[in-house]
Amino acid sequence: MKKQELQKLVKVEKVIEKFVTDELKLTYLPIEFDVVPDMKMLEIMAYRSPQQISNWKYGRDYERLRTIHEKIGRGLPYEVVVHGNPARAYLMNSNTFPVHCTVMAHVFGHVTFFTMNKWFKEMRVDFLDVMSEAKRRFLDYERRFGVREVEKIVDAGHSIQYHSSPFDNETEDEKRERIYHQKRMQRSFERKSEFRDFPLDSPDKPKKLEIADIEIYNERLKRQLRLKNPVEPTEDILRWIIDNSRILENWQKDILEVLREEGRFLWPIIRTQFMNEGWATIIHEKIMKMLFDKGILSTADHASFNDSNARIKAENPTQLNPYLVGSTMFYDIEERWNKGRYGYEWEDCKSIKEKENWDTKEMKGWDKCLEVMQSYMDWFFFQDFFTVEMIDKLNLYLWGLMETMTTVDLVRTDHDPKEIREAIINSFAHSRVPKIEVVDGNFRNGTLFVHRHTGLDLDMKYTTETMKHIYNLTERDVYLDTILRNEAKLLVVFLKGDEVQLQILEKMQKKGNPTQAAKTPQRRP
Amino acid sequence: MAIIVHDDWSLSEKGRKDAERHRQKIDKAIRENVRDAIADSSIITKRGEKIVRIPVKGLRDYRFIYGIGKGGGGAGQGPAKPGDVIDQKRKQQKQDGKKAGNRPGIDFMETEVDIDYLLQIMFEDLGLPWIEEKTKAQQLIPKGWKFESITKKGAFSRIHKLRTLKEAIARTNIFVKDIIEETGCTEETAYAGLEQAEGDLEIAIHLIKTNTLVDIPPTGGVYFEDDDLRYKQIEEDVEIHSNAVVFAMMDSSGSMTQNKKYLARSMLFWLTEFLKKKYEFVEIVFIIHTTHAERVDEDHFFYKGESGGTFCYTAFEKVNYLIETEFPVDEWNIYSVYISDGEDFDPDRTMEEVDIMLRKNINMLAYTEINLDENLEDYGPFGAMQLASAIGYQGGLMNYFKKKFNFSETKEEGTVFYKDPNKRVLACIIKNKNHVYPALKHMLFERAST
Repeated sequence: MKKQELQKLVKVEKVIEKFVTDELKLTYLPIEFDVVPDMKMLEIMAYRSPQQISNWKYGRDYERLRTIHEKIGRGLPYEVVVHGNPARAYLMNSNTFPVHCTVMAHVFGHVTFFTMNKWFKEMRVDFLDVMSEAKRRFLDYERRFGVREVEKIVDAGHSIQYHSSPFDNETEDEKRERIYHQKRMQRSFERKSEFRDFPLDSPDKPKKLEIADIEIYNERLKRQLRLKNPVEPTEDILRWIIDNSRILENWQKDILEVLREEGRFLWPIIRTQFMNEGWATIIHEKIMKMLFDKGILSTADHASFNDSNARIKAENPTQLNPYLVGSTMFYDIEERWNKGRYGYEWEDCKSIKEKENWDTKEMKGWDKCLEVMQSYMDWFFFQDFFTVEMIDKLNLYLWGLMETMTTVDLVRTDHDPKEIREAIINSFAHSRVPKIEVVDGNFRNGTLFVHRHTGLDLDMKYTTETMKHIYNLTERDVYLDTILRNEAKLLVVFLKGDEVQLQILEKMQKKGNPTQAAKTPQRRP
Repeated sequence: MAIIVHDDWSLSEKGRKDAERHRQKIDKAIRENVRDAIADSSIITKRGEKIVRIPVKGLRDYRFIYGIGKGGGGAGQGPAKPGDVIDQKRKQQKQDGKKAGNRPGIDFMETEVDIDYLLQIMFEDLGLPWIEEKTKAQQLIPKGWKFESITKKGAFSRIHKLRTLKEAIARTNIFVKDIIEETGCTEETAYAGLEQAEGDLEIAIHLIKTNTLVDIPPTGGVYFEDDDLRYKQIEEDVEIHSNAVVFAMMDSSGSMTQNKKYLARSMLFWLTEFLKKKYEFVEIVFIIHTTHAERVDEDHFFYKGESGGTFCYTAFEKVNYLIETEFPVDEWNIYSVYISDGEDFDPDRTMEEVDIMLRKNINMLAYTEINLDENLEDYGPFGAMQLASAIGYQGGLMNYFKKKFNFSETKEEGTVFYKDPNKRVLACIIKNKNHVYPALKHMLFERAST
């Protein structure tokens, strides 16, 4: 990059900063921009971070990105931004000046989102330091124990790292304490209850309790809770494995801890992808419009910007483009609240003509956008603001698979907009991370996991491989209670000879009642 | 708030390193894709570049994810109407009885592989067949340096400790005998005297004669003299090999279309690359012919085009001439490889020349006919083939070969391989680029397998 261009870019940065704080009323953490060569940029994108441990996955992604870059991607406005204090962002050296401005504006969008959205409040801002330390330690492990051994643990850790939430920080003992108190309170409450409709006369409840009885009860409760592991079903699979695996050594536990921490760091990012990209897109469009209005960028630059912006918001026939869909939804919110098109009055209005000309000149659009941006995540964002009209406007559809002799065709289905809307919203449930819980650590010489089925089945191939990964970490049988094609199934992964194998066991339970049936002890044939 | 430029970012090479790890994991996939890769035209056109790009499918990272249920799929965007096919994926071949590959979003990528590595996995246990030790004039191949002779003079760093010690002990024993002869003392006294005189014979004799020996038993030590020192000398190490020469002959006439030439070249390209890597002593002679044959250099052979009529015998004639003049049979193992599209204006003459060549007792003659699944119409109504048939054309050169030799046939992968081990003639037909690799394998089998 030429020195002149850099000076100009610094000037633009100042203008953007002023615009973002004053006009858009946003706050953000400081940002550091690095201008890097192409290949370095691809590397950072493949590793998703400038500091990352070594693994074949990143190498694969690097190669894939490089292929795309060399075949079709030249001139794409690549962008990487890492949440932290300061936030770090990277600009690709070979880009043109207007593309640099676009990327910078886009990064401002992301950083304001990181700073203001409530789901990011719990995130640590020093994650790059954690990873850079981890990278060093892991290299040492590779030297001491061999690349293959480290990779085995890392692969297993990667496979389940998203199953933990940054909002769940209770330890097992704390949980035990809490549940103990809850149960005790419940008990005493039941006894003292004066309300007739409480089940005071249930048959297994003793009629009268003496003080001694209460103590015995409490003791028994305590022992029961002590024997239970985990004390209540937990989603934090990695935490449970680290605490309970009998075969993991300290260095292996260290690797898993780091990966769990990474999963928790990525938790809000995964859950706000569409909002995040949509928000960044409308921010960069607003900023770029301002830069053109003020004459900082010339009309000649407009073509370059339009080209890259169109590439960002391109339609994708097989996937939803988060940049396009997210930004359309934010624009829609802004317009509706500017014109007062919300509330009971608007919804009850039946006249189409009246609706078309509805404009109360409230101009609350931007405030609403800020409110939404601060408090929502994808699932709820789509539930609340993804309207049926948008389906037609964006030409959205669903596709299904149709197999012929030699090919698998993706065919557009014939659903009406309401069904499409439902399907799309449902696909955001749990942000595409199936809810899987550790339920029983002493289940038939193994561990029982339960998949809380929400309408979509698990992919069998992926599930098997993931269960094998879990087996490698515990070396005990791994049971998974799930529903396949409307039938309850218990999958088990166990060691047979030298090979870890999957077996689908008998029908265990009725639909919708996952845990209870699974408790009936039964030996594996 | 800052913008920093990192122009000379020392590339950490991390991406490349981890890509290498991934590559090791998908080694099997690379091996399976070798066939496509070696017939990739970009390998030959990119001169001097030692890296080949192979399309592969990346490994997946397994997590708990939702599957695509019945009626399921995904959401998309665009102008498609209900019932339109928006994307199509070719079905994978069934592996392990499981159905795979109906998940969208499996993208292909290219991985970089070294040509040497490809050669290694392609020709793991292949080599030139029927190679013989020639009695006359073998070739000396330098193999580095070795320690050969031992001299009394040399650089101190190359001192031969064991030999020096042996010399010193031998000399000490002689000294002791001398002392006993001179003075008539016991062996022990002689040793003690020699030791106390620090190895000097005359002083030792003097000490014993004057009886001034200190009464200490000998320790068995040895003193060195300059004469004892021995040095190693290095010499160039050579290995003696049989000579081998490969005549790579190619038809470059007008009837060899772009595709055919490309197949011929890619085959010979891999052959020469392989020979260069495996044998240091193989000489490769490139010959192209139209109506006359010409000995050319490698560059010309692979990268330049020609056109004209076809007299195949000229190439064989040229080789025969070269065998007589430059590469006599009693000195050289001779391999001739000939690639053409089978079109010949004078096949009888060609067979005569082939006869002459075989009578010279060469090691192998391999004939590869490129017979694309093309129609005759490709040449136009008055194309060369029609012209040839008008003047009594009797099919390709292969037919003449078949008539002449007693071939055993093997049919494999949609094409035919012929072999006449007695006369050491191999032949095969290449129909498309998938046949290049089997054809090469057919040609390069180890002696053990014959």
